[in-house]
Amino acid sequence: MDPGILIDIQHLHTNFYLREGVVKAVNGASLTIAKGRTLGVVGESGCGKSVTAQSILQIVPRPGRIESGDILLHIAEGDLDETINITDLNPGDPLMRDIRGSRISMIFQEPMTSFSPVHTVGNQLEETIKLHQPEHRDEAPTRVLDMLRRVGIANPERNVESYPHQLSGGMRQRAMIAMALMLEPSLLIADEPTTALDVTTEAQILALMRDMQSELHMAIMFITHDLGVIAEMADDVVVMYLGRVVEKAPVRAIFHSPKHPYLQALLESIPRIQKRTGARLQAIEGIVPNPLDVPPGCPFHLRCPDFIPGVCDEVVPADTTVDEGHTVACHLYTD
Amino acid sequence: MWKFLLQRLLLFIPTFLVISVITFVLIQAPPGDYISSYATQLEASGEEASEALLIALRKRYGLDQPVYVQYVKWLWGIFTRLDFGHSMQWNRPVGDLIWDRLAWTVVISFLTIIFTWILAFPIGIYSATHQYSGFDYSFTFLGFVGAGIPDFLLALVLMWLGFAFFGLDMGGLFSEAFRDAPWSWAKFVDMLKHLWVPVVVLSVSSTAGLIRTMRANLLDELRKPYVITARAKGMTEWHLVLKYPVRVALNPFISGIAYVLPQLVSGTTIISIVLSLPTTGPVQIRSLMSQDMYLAGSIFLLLASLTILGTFISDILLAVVDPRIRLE
Repeated sequence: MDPGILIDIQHLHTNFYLREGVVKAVNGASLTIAKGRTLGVVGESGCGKSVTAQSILQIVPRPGRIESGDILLHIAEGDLDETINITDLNPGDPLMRDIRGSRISMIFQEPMTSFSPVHTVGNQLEETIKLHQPEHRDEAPTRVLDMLRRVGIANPERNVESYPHQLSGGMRQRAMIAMALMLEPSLLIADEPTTALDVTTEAQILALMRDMQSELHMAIMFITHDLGVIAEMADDVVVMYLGRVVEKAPVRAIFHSPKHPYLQALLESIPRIQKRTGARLQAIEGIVPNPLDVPPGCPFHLRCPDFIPGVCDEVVPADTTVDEGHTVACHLYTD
Repeated sequence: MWKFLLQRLLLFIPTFLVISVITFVLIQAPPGDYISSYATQLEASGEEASEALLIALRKRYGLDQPVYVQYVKWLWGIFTRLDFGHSMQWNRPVGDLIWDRLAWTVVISFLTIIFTWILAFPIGIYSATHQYSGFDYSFTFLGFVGAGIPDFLLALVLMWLGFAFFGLDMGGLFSEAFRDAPWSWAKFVDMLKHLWVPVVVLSVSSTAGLIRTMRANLLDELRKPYVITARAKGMTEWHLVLKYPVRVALNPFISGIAYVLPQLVSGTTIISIVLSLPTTGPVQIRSLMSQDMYLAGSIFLLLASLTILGTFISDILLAVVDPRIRLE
């Protein structure tokens, strides 16, 4: 494995077994997360971006299950150099629990409901240390105060005793970040961390995440549906549609030379300040197909302006490299 | 926190007074009084109830005075001397009649609550964390059966089973030999042998309800994002379930304590009659039928006080358990 790679996901399939049928939430997605860099994962609701993240931590909620594929985690620290295949582990495996919260941690969309309402912020932050480094439990309170200070929480001595509902939304998300970074993980998964915040707070939280990243040299998997946030945060970008990765590229290429018709349409639909006022926004034709009944071939062919009959509706397009580090899964680019 | 408790404590006083007034008025509401029902009783048995005797009795019990005077005297006695008045039917002070019974009622009720919780919480937690498993379905079924069976029927069946197969007399709280004996280890063991019947019978339906409530509450909580957060931190499943969602799911139970006490006390009435237990229930019914107002009133007042006390306890516990409540 390339030493610069932290996470390598290959052909991941994660299914939800519902009474109505099987929802293939992640349907053969492959992507890599480089050490110390930010991978932006974009896509609309239900495209499988959150489930991919949950699969990495093996916390896919029931009735969901990882069906097949590999999630390789590369651990290199001092003399230690090993690769763990996360899909080989059970969700309850002690090794999996070791990884959660210490090597890979996660922050969520709603910082209010993501904290327990009946435990103090301090209690919940200290828990991470007590779980993973029980030998250092005496230091937990000082380390929590230190971390709260680093994420910019004013008066940490008082706020550590507060309950989540006593903090503002931005403060809660800062506390959430502090909790996730407590053990300096090598990957922080951020699942729409600023969606519930107002724009000013969002900007502060994004800046904080960038600062903490350069301080701790961690990778970030940033999940969002907001292309503006992606432009600001990501180094590399993955575009997902109906459980598949349709395009992977460095962030500049995503905005300057988008290849997949879905991504092109998505970028067209963003309102721009320079544009003539009064003009209608471009919308993507049609709707996302029912996830219980995914069309054969390319998942986007029903809505695609460049649909090739007999090809797109029959064959699932393979990844085609169009430029260095830029691949697209579309028949328009295959030979 | 202390201010909150003091507030609740002060509210206790007006609530108690209002309840005592309502109790007294309601008991007086039906036409006639104890003396008139006593007269009917005498006439029914062929004796003559002379007008002079009835007037003398009314005077003796203070029934010739206006209602509010009777009320104030009664309440004054309670507050100054803990004197709950005189039971006309039993011709004894109310206090003598009810303290023992009240103690037994509290013992049985308390054991029932404990037994219910010990049974219901683990089952409810397991059912929620293993939703739609065979275990969950079995207990759902048993729970509904339990909730559906009338408790007096269950009591009768248990008594019959005990008598038919083991030759045991399971009524009452003691065997014949120990009934009037002083307390001893043997008497205690004998009591335990009898006590489990009312405890089990009274627990069955409330356990069934509690399992359903616990299961539903916990299922709601298990879907909350903070559970996913805890899981993403690397906690073991049972550790996180017990620390977070169970803790939150307990809130409705704690606020329910207020109603558990009076419910059990009044709920024991029919069972007490069936199993001939020395609780307040049977006495309360008889006092109401004969309009023995001080006895009936005192029992109602004590029941109401138990409710207020239960509310107070549950307020304190809720404030301890849920920080969001402390900040009113």
